[in-house]
Amino acid sequence: MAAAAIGTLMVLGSLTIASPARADGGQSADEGYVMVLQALSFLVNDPGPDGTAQALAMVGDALEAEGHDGVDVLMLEQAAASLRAGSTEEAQTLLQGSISEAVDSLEPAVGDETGTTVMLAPLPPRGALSVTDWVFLGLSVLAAAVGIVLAVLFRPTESLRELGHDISAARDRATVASTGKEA
Amino acid sequence: MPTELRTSTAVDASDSRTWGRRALDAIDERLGITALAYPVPEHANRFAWTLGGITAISFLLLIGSGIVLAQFYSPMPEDANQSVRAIETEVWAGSLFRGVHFWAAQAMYVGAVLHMIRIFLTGSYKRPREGNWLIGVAMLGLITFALFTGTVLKWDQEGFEALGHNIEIGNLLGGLGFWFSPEFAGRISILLRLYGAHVVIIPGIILVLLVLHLLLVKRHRMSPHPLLPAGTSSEQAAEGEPTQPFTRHIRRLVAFGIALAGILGVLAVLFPAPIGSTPVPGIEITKPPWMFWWPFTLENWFGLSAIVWGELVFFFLLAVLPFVDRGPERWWRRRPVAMGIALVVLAVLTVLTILMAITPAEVHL
Ligand code: HEM
Repeated sequence: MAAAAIGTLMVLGSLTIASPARADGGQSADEGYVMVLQALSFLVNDPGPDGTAQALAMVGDALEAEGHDGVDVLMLEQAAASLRAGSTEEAQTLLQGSISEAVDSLEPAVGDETGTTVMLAPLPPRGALSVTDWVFLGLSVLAAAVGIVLAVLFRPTESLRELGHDISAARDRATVASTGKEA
Repeated sequence: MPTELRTSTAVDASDSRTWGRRALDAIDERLGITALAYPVPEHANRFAWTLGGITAISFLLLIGSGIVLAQFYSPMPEDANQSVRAIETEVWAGSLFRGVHFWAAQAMYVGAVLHMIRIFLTGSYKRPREGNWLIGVAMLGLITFALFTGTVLKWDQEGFEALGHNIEIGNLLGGLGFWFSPEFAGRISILLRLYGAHVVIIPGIILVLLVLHLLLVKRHRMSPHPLLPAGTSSEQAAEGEPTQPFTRHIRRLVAFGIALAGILGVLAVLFPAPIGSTPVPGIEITKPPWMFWWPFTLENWFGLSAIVWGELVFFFLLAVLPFVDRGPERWWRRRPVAMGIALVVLAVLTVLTILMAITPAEVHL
């Protein structure tokens, strides 16, 4: 990331200096609905006991938070109960439901706001290969093989040692020629 | 040399060339393709000396696959993650194009680094090629920047956390970091600006620099192989070294390009590019892509500003190298000081990277 910053600075280094950046974005991490989204993120990224524990702690924080704008506290409490009972999926549905009012009233995201309204779990690894996948795989293996064979066929014919001999021989010939002329 | 323009290939009764030959000559007269057949020293066809070309081929594959992705990607925060999922699951062969793009990006990074290591080992950055080395360093910075912006575009938790770090670094840099501030253009999403950078600004600048880079390679000619007997000038290959037309070099590069495309295709099918959960601010549960691991270990130890210092030192060392190391020796075995320093830098980067690999994600911001 920093390389990114520095890369730009190096290349665009001549740009003028603008006003210093302000730190606060439009979306703060301690708003009630954002905390619920955080709980959801813990859950979908680790549905095991660790994720559930983190999610539960976050829901606790959300319940204690000052602003509950757009968050259905009753549903949130139910979600906490489901989490304690170990029904992760039910908890997920309840958590998502508890913030529907808040996310429905969001303006289009600007600055560094996420725009996230629905927590989607990481896309699961794709299943068995489709026909297209197989065809593409076959063609790719073929291309890799043909490319490697061609690269070997087109390899330099002379080794470094032979090249060295060529150069020395050429130099000797040049010396003979020039001394011959001088004689 | 066929570089001179033939003044006329007008119909001539005595012209004994075949129809096909005449057609080719007519095209060549207009496009000057045979001018590419200028002689290059034979050693330029060795694998280590084609790494720059292989990097350029990765760049072409990135542009090709990127154009396809750009048809289906939506740079709006509300929809970006979903549009990437649609590319994976709904667009015909979308997952394959995305996989090729994902792997080609890493191939370009690795290719550029290996190419740089070759230049270093053969002392090819020395006079008169210092300027071209600097252009290379700038391109390496831009490649890193492209990797970063590409990571953010997915708009998943990983990409968003990467962005968070960068915004904080921008704040740390004060006015200099203005471009990374979300408030710089507060009524649009920063994602939109990063998208513009990823698809237009960065590849555009790389392209301009690459043209300069290649023109300079042609102008300075390929540096001499340090293990071959020197010619009258230590800056050029010996006059007696056999040459090959540059088109032969291109022919070998095309072969490598076909192989590389195949390998990336296999990777795309077997190891598709991942996409994580929709982003939320205020938590840190992911790690950045592996090229960014070494500065992140520094951050674990010394805090955010260590990323800036680490990268500054790294790029500073690269940039000053040709101006500090001006000795005539080109072969690495005869340059113990340069090699010693390079080994220390390499060891530090490797250890820092491995440390991040074995450390769980940690909350920093
Ligand atoms: C976008 C990435 C890059 C591309 C596509 C690229 C491409 C090339 C190509 C095709 C050559 C001809 C020789 C060869 O292939 O080995 C070359 C030479 C050279 N490159 Fe790069 N390069 C890139 C990045 C770099 C970097 C990161 C550096 C160093 C910091 C660098 C420094 C040089 C120098 C000094 C030469 C002249 C070498 C000689 O005459 O032996 N390049 N580059």
